[in-house]
Amino acid sequence: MTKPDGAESKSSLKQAALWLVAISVVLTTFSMSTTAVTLTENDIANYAAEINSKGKGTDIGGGTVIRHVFSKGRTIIFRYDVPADWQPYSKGREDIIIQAKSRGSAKFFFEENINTNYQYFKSNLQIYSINIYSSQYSNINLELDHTYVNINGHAKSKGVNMRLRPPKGWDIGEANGPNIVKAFNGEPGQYYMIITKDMPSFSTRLQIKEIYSNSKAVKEHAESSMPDYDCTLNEYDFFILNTYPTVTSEYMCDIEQSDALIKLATKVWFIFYEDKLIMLQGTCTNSRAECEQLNKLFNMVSASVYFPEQFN
Amino acid sequence: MIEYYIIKETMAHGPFNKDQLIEQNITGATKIWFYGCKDWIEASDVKDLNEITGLSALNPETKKSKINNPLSLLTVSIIGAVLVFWLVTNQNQSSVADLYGEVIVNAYESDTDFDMFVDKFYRDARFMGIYPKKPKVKIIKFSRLDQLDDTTHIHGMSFGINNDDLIEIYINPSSWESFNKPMRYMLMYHELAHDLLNLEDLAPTGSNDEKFLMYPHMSDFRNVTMDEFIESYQRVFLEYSLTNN
Repeated sequence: MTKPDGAESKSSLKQAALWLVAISVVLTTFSMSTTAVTLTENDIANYAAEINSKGKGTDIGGGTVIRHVFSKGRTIIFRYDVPADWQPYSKGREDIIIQAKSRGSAKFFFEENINTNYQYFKSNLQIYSINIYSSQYSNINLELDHTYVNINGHAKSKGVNMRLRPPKGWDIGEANGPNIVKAFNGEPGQYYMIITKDMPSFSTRLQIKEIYSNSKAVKEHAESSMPDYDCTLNEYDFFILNTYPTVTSEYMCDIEQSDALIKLATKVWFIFYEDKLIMLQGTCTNSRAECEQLNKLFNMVSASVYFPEQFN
Repeated sequence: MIEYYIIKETMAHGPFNKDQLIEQNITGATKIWFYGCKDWIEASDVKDLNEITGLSALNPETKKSKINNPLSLLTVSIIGAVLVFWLVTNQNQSSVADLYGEVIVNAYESDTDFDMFVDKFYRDARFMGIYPKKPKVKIIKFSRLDQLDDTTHIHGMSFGINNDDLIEIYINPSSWESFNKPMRYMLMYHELAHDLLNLEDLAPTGSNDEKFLMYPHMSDFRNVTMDEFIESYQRVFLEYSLTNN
């Protein structure tokens, strides 16, 4: 029986990926249970050396043999010798990520901020390479829903006419707080809320811009708005969001809950809208890597904000 | 350029620029108004018009009626060229009663949340150090002001000026329906400024000041923004605060 062109090559690449994933799972468990902290570059080097010592020279299928595994910085490089008829296949990267996710090693690479690079050699000549950044192993989908959530007329919107696009696949619900208009929930530990509050009086956009043209004023706003936990202010900024002046601030907080310490990362957009303060708040209580990735998603959601009456 | 309004034969006319005023054959005794005047004044009191009134002196005007404001309880917001139309066309209390009766007859209750504007007005006044009295009687309703006789289009009317125990405002529903948010704020704050701060209307000038809150000629307000509304009411409140505190 003759296999179609490329079928063998595709199969070989898949097998190589699967094999590496299998090794990764074992070592991931070992690493995480012993250190429970982010691996250093030296740890990663040891990890790569261990894979190398166990796997070097192994035929992982179809004539593809592990040539060498080593690390450079936070990147683990996997080198293979492939047979003469081996051909790269276009969805190799996707397959490796999918398999890594199904077996758990993707979480390890993502959480430990480890990039991977797969290099393929024919007769000592590198013919192909796949680079996968740690963030690409993330389960967080950096996509927004195409349908806008519109808070105009909502009982708690206080007259604010605003719409934005929620993360794709997240639950969109109401919340109990008096000022929380909408709450978007992703996986456990992933939240985004729309909050509206009354200001003491009206302000024009120009008046707010003048106030916050001074970075000291921006910092003071960010500090005075810090959540009521043990928090530190990481970053703050001032810019114009869909014509409305906006202060952003990022906080890292420690929360004690049932004798457990929860790390919380939250980013808040304070939008000054007529006589209202709109707060868009993205919160993550999961790993640092996941929170960093979620931050990108929160930025996308907030950037989608649209005020239909902005030119009124 | 200053635009002038004059009273001829008990009717307000205008606006006119200086050249157009010549054609109106005004005299020094002609009642005249332009932006910045608190009340109608005689043309002879306006230095810039001396040359015009001098020319017209050859044809002295016989009517020298003293125009007192008989409707101090009434202020109106109108669209069109006629300003304070009722002021000069109805000079007695019976006319006031007729007008009031007509407004009342055409008034009706609605679900529109006028109280929100009142609350915000008080809030914003307090924010700028103004503490208007909170009257026990508060009547804010729609009234079909389009149906009033002898008027151009009226957006709203207030009857509580110089009466600190009363807020009584009637809003034209057809105006309300056609207004966007900034226009509605403009209208409500304008009427509330009459009733709660006892502020009078200002007359048009043809300048950017026409978006000023106390200017009743709202036909050019179509493009007013929330920022312009905010600037406008803050300017009124600030001036009021400086004058009254």
